[in-house]
Amino acid sequence: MKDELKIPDEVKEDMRSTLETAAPSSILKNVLSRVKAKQTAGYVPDIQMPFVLTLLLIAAAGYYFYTNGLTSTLGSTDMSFEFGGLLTSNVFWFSLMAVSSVVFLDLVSQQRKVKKNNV
Amino acid sequence: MDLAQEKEYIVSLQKGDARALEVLIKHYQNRLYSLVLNLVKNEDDAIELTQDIFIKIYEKSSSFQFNAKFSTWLFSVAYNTTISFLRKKHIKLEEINEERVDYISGSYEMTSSLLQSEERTIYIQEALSKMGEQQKILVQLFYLEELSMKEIEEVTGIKINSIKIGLMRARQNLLKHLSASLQGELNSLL
Repeated sequence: MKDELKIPDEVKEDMRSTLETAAPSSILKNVLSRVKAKQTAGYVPDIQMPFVLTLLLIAAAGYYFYTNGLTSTLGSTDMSFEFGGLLTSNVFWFSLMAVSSVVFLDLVSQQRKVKKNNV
Repeated sequence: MDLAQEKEYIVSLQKGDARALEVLIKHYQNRLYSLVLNLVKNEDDAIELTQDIFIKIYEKSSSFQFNAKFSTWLFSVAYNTTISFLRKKHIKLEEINEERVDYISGSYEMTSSLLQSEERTIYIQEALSKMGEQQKILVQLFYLEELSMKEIEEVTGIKINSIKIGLMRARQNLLKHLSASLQGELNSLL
């Protein structure tokens, strides 16, 4: 079988010159820059308007519920801040959960973007 | 680059060394790009795919176990990535015709040596241009990359019998073209 498939070296060289094309220099440059970007990229939060607005909304709602809660339970206008009260507040934990969810979703979406770029 | 040097670079690549990747790209980029270009027949797509293939090689280098030649693994990643790309674009490659290969009499060596170098190149280009993409890839992997049939089977997934038939047909086509051109030369002289 080997002899049946044998062809002279000069024919091989002609085939090489026909079938092989020099790769553009941009390939090396682009691959190296993509690799460098991958090496330096860590988690950078994607600060976008919806993200900032959600945080603002959570902060405003938290403040509203917190002050309302104080007024109704204490029945006074004393708005002094108590750290112990904050930790037992449902609103505080709810807000924290909401912030965590947003950050988590943002992280997942970034990971998906990175994966999509790699394919 | 000899095999020992190549192994050193692959080990460095597996540790994430981008300089090792640079050396390996410089060594393989022309052959890899040509393989991809012969399949997709579009320069922009070939450039994009070759870049993606090298990134894959960088990311998956740790899965290379030195059980096979690095070039076989590299061509396998390149071939499969390109075939997936073509499938996504609904482009089907020309299958290898598995009909019996007729024997053509005539000496290959004699025919090719009687032709002038430039003429021979032209007729070989002509013969190659008439081959299907799969057959061209077989020729490239077998004659230019000097992969064995078993290795070509690993790279392309094409069965050894089909590879043999594809290569024999390619060789016969080349001989047919060279003989016809030589006959033409003789006729013009007489």
